[in-house]
Amino acid sequence: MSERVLELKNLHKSIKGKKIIKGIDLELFSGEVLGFLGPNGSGKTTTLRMIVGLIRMTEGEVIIAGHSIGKDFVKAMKNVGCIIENPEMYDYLSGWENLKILASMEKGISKERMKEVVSLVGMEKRIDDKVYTYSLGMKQRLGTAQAIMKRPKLLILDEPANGLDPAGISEFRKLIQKLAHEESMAVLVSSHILAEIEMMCDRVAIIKQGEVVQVTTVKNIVKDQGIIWKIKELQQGKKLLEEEFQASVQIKEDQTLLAFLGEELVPMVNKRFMEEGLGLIYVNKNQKSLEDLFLSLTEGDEIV
Amino acid sequence: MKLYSLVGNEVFKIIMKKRLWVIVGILIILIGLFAYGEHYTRERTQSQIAERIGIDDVDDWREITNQQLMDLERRLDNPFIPEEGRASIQVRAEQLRYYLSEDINPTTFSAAQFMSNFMEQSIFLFLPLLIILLASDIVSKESTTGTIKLLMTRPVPRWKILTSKLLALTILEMIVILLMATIALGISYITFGQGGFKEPVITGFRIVNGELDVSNIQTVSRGTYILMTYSLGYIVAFSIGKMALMVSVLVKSTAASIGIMMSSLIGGTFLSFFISDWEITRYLFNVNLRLTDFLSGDLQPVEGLSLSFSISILLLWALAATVVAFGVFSYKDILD
Repeated sequence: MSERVLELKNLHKSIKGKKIIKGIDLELFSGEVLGFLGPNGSGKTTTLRMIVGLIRMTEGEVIIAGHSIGKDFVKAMKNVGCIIENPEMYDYLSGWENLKILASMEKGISKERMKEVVSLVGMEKRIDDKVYTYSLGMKQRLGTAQAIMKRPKLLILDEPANGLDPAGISEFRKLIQKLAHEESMAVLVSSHILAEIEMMCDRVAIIKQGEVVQVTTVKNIVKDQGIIWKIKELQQGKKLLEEEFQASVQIKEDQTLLAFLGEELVPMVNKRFMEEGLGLIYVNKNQKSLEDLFLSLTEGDEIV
Repeated sequence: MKLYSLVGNEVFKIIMKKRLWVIVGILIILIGLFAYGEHYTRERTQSQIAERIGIDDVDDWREITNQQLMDLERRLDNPFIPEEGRASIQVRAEQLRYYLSEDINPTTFSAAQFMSNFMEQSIFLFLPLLIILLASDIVSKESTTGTIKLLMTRPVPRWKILTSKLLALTILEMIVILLMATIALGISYITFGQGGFKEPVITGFRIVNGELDVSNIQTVSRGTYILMTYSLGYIVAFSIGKMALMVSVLVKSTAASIGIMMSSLIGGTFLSFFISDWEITRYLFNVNLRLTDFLSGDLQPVEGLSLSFSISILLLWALAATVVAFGVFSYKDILD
């Protein structure tokens, strides 16, 4: 059974009397990728910073692999690799020197392991160059390398896809899924690129104004939500569907029909539409995307 | 985690930032100018004095010293010279009399003399500036660039991170002092062509209630004297470094950090000019920086200071700064 790697208990943070985080509870298990979503100013980064001890919590507890970050920082942080916000590195040092400095602050990271992660993130050719010559994407790769080189139980990535090109994003996604599913790391990813989260994560937590409003699996979000027909004669089509197939039908704003009925009936419906000459243009599955969920949950929010 | 490897990291970072090279560059240029200037002034004064008293041989130091002494005595008769000026002239005259009676030549100039002179001249402003240059960005640069997050998300407690920075800084302060000594020695040896480390130096002149107190006078070799001045220089570097470290923890921007340290350094000098009789000024660090003047017997900016008092004040400031730095560093939230 998978181990509980991260637990947030009733996490609160006030800064100068203003409540930024208002009681977050969250669990993360090994081998799982959890997406952390929220509009700007919702408290995503503040929460991530509290998890890694950069910010002290006002109330509540963060437990990483059984150790409280507030009470036993060193033991808890032994299990964490992270990039918080931007992948900042010492730009007057080379990539390798950066890794060496950071590795010396941990226990048991061998030179071989460092070389391994460098090739894992595809930086072998540029690792001896100074970091100020790197593009944002390369810094992102180096940041990932330093985060994963100690094989942490918990990997925290804040906006990891920033600056990566499409090929880089796809490679990165595969890397993260490999780390989670093969090395059974628990990965917490925050991103504002919803499609990314949808493809990368097993579960998503949506945060709004300092509170988690929904935690759900990605499968749940993208499950089928009816069938869509684009036809010329909407009213007749609706009538036909209702009378012959007993389906509940809506005419959507974009002049399509949305009906809820079994997939096996679709060829029959299509045949009937053509027989009646209703001008069938296309037929499609209606998939609700993460974006719809996100927008419906965070609708009308102002940045606080 | 082993502290020495953390200290090693910090020293490595400071060296790779190339700050030390900037300091070496500044030292070479400034010491070069200073040496040339000293050389030029010495020669001119000697020939001027020689011309005035009508001798050709500028090497006759007794005559020149006598003449200088007479000059000073004449100035003492001038009723328009203020009390403070009068006291320092008196000190200088007493010193010259002492040199004459003890048969010590004050006009020769050697590499060793230059070295101690250079530290005496730089201990209250130039040396602190170099240290500020070195120390002011030690934490603030990490805050500005965000690398502080890398450091603080390692399994290393925060106090250990700051301790490693503090120790690295303490080592580099020593290196700056050694660099100063080496560069001063090299350049002045080329310029003046003589070492002069065995020359006797008189130290321990003191002013008590406006009178020159010669009861503590000691003769030491110039080499020992240099060792003493550079050790005092290290005390100044040490305490200024700790204060710069504190400011670097308190403010995020390196520019602000350097600015705050420089203005308090220079502001203190002004303060000591204008309100030197205000009791509290003697507890400021910036009026206690002229430690070498206690050796040479020069007048202090504020009356009634002593070497041990000034050193204690500097160390107290360093201690207070370190306590504040640790307190803030251990508890602050890293928000950006």
